[in-house]
This record gives sequence, structure tokens and C-alpha cells, in this order.
Amino acid sequence: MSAIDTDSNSNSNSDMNSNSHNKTNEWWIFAVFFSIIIIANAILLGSGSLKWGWSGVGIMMAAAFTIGLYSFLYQDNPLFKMAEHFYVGIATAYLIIVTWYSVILTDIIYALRDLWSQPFSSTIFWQMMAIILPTMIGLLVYTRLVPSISWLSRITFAVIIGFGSGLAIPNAINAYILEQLKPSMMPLWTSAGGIAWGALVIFFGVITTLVYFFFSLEHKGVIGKTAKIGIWFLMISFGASFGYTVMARFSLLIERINFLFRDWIPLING
Amino acid sequence: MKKISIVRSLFNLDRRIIYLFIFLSILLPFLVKFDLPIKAAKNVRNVYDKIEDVAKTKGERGTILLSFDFDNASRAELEPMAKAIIAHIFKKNIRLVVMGHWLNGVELTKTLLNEMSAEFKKKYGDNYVYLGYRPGVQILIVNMGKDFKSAFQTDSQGKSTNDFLVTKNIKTLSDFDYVISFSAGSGGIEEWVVYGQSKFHFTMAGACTAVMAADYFPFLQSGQLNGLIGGLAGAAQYEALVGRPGSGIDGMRPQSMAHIVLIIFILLGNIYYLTDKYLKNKKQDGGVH
Repeated sequence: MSAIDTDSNSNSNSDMNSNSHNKTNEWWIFAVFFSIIIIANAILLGSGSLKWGWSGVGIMMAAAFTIGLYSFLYQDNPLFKMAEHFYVGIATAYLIIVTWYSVILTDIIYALRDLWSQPFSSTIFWQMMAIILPTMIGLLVYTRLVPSISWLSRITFAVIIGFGSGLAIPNAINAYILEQLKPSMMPLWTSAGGIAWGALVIFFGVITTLVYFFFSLEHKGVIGKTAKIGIWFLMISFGASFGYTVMARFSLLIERINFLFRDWIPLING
Repeated sequence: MKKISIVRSLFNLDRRIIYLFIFLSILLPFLVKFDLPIKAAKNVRNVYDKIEDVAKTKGERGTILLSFDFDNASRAELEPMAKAIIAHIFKKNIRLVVMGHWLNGVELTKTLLNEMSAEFKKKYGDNYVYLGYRPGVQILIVNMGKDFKSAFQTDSQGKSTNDFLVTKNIKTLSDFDYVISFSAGSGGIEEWVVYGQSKFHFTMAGACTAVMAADYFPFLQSGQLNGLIGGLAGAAQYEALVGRPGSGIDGMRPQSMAHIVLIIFILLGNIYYLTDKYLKNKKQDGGVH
């Protein structure tokens, strides 16, 4: 047996040992976490803070999953992974059910059934076609599951891209460019003869930021200084976006803490 | 060298300590109640003023369309503002039409609408209608703008929209006195502005999560949106305007405290950075001499 073989054997042995050690740890984490959750819920149910029933079970499960998901803040762990997988699975199942009842049944099956029950005419025929044809085009996506006819799915994508582009391009030019040009070209002076400070800031912001993204000229001299001002405008904009992002994340945490300590453990009153 | 290591050890905090401070800064203000002044920003007040204006000029014939373009993930931010706006609309006896572009938000919207209509004793069909979800987003908006009844022949329960007092006379999107999109991402405000407002020129406002708010201010500047409510802070401002304190106002104490804690940590981080730089420079200067 060569030295390399011996090394690889000892490595695989140590990997196996480490895996079995990790699995034992994972079981311990699950056991301790669920014991704590069960004891806490038993106390809450016993004290009458939590009512037994669907609503109570829902609160208990939501609390366990919330703690499981936030446990990632300490470090990655099997509880987080379990909660994450549950979330993805439940969300997908929910989406399938809602799609079935809100779209497939209502817009396809019931709509066709209603049309079928009416006396046949050319109007009814074309109304049926307006449902059947898009449904068929949509179903062609699933031909990707059969390699020999998977090319048919390109028809669906071609229709989606064609329709999407045709619809998006004129509307996007209108809403994002033409409509946005108006506030960028406001008079810099008010009717009373004073300076319109807001318009002035927008004017300088637009010009300097555009200069920053103008790469055909080297950013030196006047161009360089103007581009630098543009960077400042960009930085302020990124700062505002980041500030709002922080606020949003805190809002989500606030709602979860409010849930945990109001609906689950009644610490917060009022 | 010793000074540098002391400064480093002081400021090189484990991130979990910061999380602990943030957690406490959110939990404690829930336990210790105190009031914070809440003043509505112009972009939030514009929404309030527009609804007041609809009530004044149109009275009970006024109709407002709310598009619930979010799901449970953004409920914490958008539900408080949705509740405050629906309460305002119901208080003013304005007719309400609700729909949504997000399939995952259908049940959430139904629950919220049932709760609010029961509180204000509003009758389905006469005071409000729930149209539910229809696929398409962009095409649906364009269709609504051209022929509302072809886009929504029925409500979410399959009843004809011609049979309801609220939707009977609605022919296009321009027949609505006001449109508000509660948006948490793609298939929301942006689509409403691009395929709806800019094309059919109706008055609309946006209510969105804080993450998105900064991106929508240009629409406000251009007049494509007449008002914008952003995040929990926007919800709190609207609750204050309507005089109906809810989870928006309640969330402002922890939000403000968490922001203060974060600002302190940012300042500490910068003090560390500058001190470290100063001590390093001093050490280098000492080495040269």
C-alpha cells in the first residue's frame, strides 16, 4: 500500500468520524431545542396564556419556526436548515394550491365548462380558442421534460419574449425616460425671481452623475472633478437606499419580536 | 503597539454582541411605553389629502382601487398602512375595490378585508368588492385601462362585476378616483406606473416596503405618483393622520431605539477606524525619527 493510499484512507476515516460527530451534535441540538419549546408551551398552556386549538397550535409552531430561523444569527445550525426547508416546502405547496383554485380552475376549467354549456356560435368558438390556445402554449413548457420534443418549449418562450418586449418597450420609454425627463428640466428660477433650490440640486445631480458614467473621456481636469461630484450624488443615493433597507429589516424584526412576546409569551401588554 | 492592541480588542466586537444590543433595543421599548412625536411627511399627507378630496367632491359615489401586491413576507410593513388607508376610506364612506397581483397574497387580503369590513359594518357589493387575483400583471393593467369589465368580468367569488353597486359603473381605470398599490416588489407600483398611470393618466399613489421607497421617489418627483408611503414609518405617519394608532405607531419606539443603537455602533466603528489609523501613523513617524 503506497503512502498516498494510506493518507487518503486516514483522511476518509477522519471525515467519517467528523460526520458522525456532527450528526450526534445535530441530534442534541434538536433534542434540547424541542424540549425547551415543549416545556415552554406546556407552561403557557397550563397558565392559560395560550389557548389549545388550531390558533394555539399555529402560534406554537410559528414561534418555534421563528426562533429556528433567527438561530442562524448565532451560527449556521440544523434548526435553521429545518425551518428553512419547511418554509420553502410550505410556500411551494401553498402556491400550487392557490394557483389551482385561483387560476387553473377559475380561468380555464370553469370558464371552458361555462362556454361549453352555451349554444355553439362563432363567438363562443373564438372565446374558447382564447382560452385553449394560451393554455396549450403554456403547457408546451413541460415538453422540456421529454428531451426528444423539448424544442417545442421554445415556442412558449418566443411568445413570452415577443409579447413582453412589444408591451414593455414603448411603455418603459414613456414612463422611465420621457416622463422622467420633465422633472429633470425644471426652471432653475422661481416666478418670483428666486433660485429654485430643488431644481438646482436635480440639475447638478443629473449632469454630474451622467458625466461619471461617460467613459469616452478620461476622468481628468474638469471632467474628473465633475465626475467626482457625481460620485457624491451616487453615494448619497446609495446611503438613502441602505438606510431604508436597514429600516425595513428592523420592521420585520419588530413584528417578529412583537409576535413572540405578545402572542406567544405574553410579556408585552396593550 | 500596546495601545493599538487595546483599541483593537475594545472595538473588535463579536457580531453577536451587536445582535444582542439590537434585540434589546427592540424588546425594551415594547415593555417601557413612551410617546414619540410623529409628523406626517408631505408624500404621506398627499395620500391622506387625496382621499379627503375624493370624499368631499364625490361623496359616496367616489371609488378607490387598492391593489394588494404583497404577501406574508412583507406583511409587517404593508399591513399597518393598508389597515389605516382602508379605515380612512370606510370612515369617509367611499366605495372600495380591492385586487392583487400577487397570488400568495390572496388569502391575506381576504382576511384583512373581512376584518376591516366587519369593524366598519360595510356591506359587500354596496361598499366594497374584492376582485381577487388575475394573472398577467402588465397585460392585466393595460386591459383594465382599456376595458375594466373584460379584465374582471367577475369578482373573486365568480359573481358578475355588473351586479355590484361599487363596480357597476366602472368602465376603465380612469373611472377610479384614486388607485393605490401596496407593493413589495415586482408586480406592483412600478408596473402600475409604467403600464397604467403613464398610459391612462389616472391619479395614483404607492405604498411600499422601506427597501423600495428610495427607488420610487423619482416617480413622485415627476408626478406619476401623487403620494408615497414607505415602510413602517410611513404607516405610522398615516395612522397618526387618521387618528387610529396601530402596529405602525407602536413600532416606532423600537424602530427609533434600534436606529439609535445602530448609529452608536457606526460611530464607534468610525472612531476605531480613525484611532487605529492615527496610532499606526504615529508609530510609523516614530520609526522614521
